[in-house]
Order: sequence, then C-alpha cells, then structure tokens
Amino acid sequence: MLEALTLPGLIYFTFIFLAALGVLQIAAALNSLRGLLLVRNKFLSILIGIVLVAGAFVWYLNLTNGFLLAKIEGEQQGILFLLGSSAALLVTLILASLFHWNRSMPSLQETNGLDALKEMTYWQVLRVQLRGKAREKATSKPPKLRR
Amino acid sequence: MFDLDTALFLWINSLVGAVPLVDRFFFWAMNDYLIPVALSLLSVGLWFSGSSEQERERHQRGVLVAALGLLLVNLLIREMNQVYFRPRPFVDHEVKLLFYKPPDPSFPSNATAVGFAIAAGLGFANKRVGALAYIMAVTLGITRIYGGVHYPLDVLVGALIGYGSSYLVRAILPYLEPLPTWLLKIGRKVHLA
Repeated sequence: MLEALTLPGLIYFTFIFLAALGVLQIAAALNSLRGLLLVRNKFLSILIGIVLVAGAFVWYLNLTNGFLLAKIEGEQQGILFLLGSSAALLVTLILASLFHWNRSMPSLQETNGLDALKEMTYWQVLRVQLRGKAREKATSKPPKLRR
Repeated sequence: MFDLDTALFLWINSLVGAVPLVDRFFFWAMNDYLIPVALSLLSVGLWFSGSSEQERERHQRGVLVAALGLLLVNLLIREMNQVYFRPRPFVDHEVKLLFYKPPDPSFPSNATAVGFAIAAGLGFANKRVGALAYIMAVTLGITRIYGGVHYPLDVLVGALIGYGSSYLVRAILPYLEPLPTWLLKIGRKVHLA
C-alpha cells in the first residue's frame, strides 16, 4: 500500500478526493440526505458538486499533460481510489456536522441506516445513538431491593 | 479470424488524423483515468442513491457486484496473460498511435474488461445508470482501437470477460449469504449504507 504514496500517487489521491467530494454532494442533494450537505440549499449543493467533479478532472488533466504523466498502475489506482473516496466521505461527514452543528435536532427516534442522515448530521446521529444506548442501560438495570 | 481482426483494426486506425477534434476527444477518452474514474465515481454516487431503503439496498448490492467483478476481472486477465501473449498492434504494424506504448499484452483489453465489469454491476441494479455506464465502457473500448493500442478482438473479449465476471459474481452472491447481508447491515449500523 505504501508503494502508492509517490508524488503521482498523492496527486491522483487528491484528484479522487476532490471528485468524490463533489459526487457525494450531488448524490446527497438528489437523495435528500441533508446530513451530508455542506450548504443547506440543494441547488447550490449540486452546483458545488459539479464544479468539484469538473474542476478535479480539468486540474488532473492539465497537471498530467492530458493524463500522459499520470503513471499510476492499475492496482495502485484501485487502492488510491478507495483511500481518496473514503477520505472524501470522512471529510464530508465532519464538515457537514461542523457547518450545521446548531441545526435543530428532531425528537429522539429510532435511526436506521442512511435514512438517519435525511434529518440529522452524522454527529447528531451518533449522539442520538449514544443517548439511546445510555437510556437502554438505565432501564435495564435491576431495581435495588429494600430491606 | 486474426486477419479479419487486423484488417478491421487497420481500417479503424486509418481514420486517425481525419478530424483533429475527434482525435483530441479520443485521446482523452482512451486513457486509464477519465472513463475508469468516472465509472468508479458513478458507483460511489449509486451507493448513496435510492428513494426507498429497498431501492438503496438494490443499488448497494449492484456496487458490491461491480467491485467483486472488478477483482475477478483482474485475476482472470492476470492468469490469461501468463498463458497467452499477443503483442500490441504497434509492434507488428504501422500504426497511427494516439497514446503512449503500453508494454503489457494486447489481448484481452484490460481497460475494456474493467469498464464492462463496473457497467454490468451497476446495470444489474439500475437500468438508467447502467445504460450510462455501458455507453462509457463502449466508448473506452472503441477509442482504444481507434488510438492504436488494441485490436477489435481484444476489446470484444475484454468486454465479454468484464460482463461475464460481474454476471458470475451476481449469480454466486446468493450462495455467499449471509456475508453480503452482514456487510450491508454493518454499513447500516454505522449509517453509511
């Protein structure tokens, strides 16, 4: 895996990171996953997504002289794609949680899969989950016997 | 068979230079970055798409099929390359080359196989996204013949291997249960599926 961390590898990683960041914004906006959006406006999110994807391709195309200087082997490409897109997802989750930290939280409810991100940020989802677990623990404690 | 393949290749490749704008587009489309990355990004987008939980799960299973199909393609082609080495067209013929000279074997087309493996996986899950992915995969195959790095037969067999791999993975997936379901359940637990 370390072999992938050459200068062309890092440039490819950045290209994938930026493009995946854009794809995530477009997918989140089109599927109402508000917890993944960096800005509240859906239209603006799609626009940001398109600019990120197109910008990443144009930047990489220019930097590698029309891909001629890219020189990333197939296996390396796969690893770097996985790393780049995972990093983009992580950054999206963190930034969306930070940007919307004060978003009103819906009442405590059962959250399921990605649907939870329709109303809450990832940080809020984690908080709801932790609170739910704490409540569960509290209610499952056996009552103390009085003598 | 090979004569016909070569004749077809030489005819397609003879079109290089006729329209410079087409050459420019094909030069960008034929490399290992533009279309393969676009297809992979399409998979990322599909993972997060779906109007209902059921639809999203179908999409995610499609992405899993594409990813496993891709692995199978790489294994198969690696083994095939050990058994049979067909030189690139520019080795034996005078070719108008649009790209650099790849050193690996010509048969089968690895890039086309990768494109078709992803397209098939996505196509099984979502027809519209699949259609877009197939257009990209076909474009990749055609541009690689046009640009002088593959014979038509390389691309045709590459496409069959790519599609066949994802088809096979899709057929095997139910026998791998409960592994795929567990994977999706873990994803759902951490709210990423």
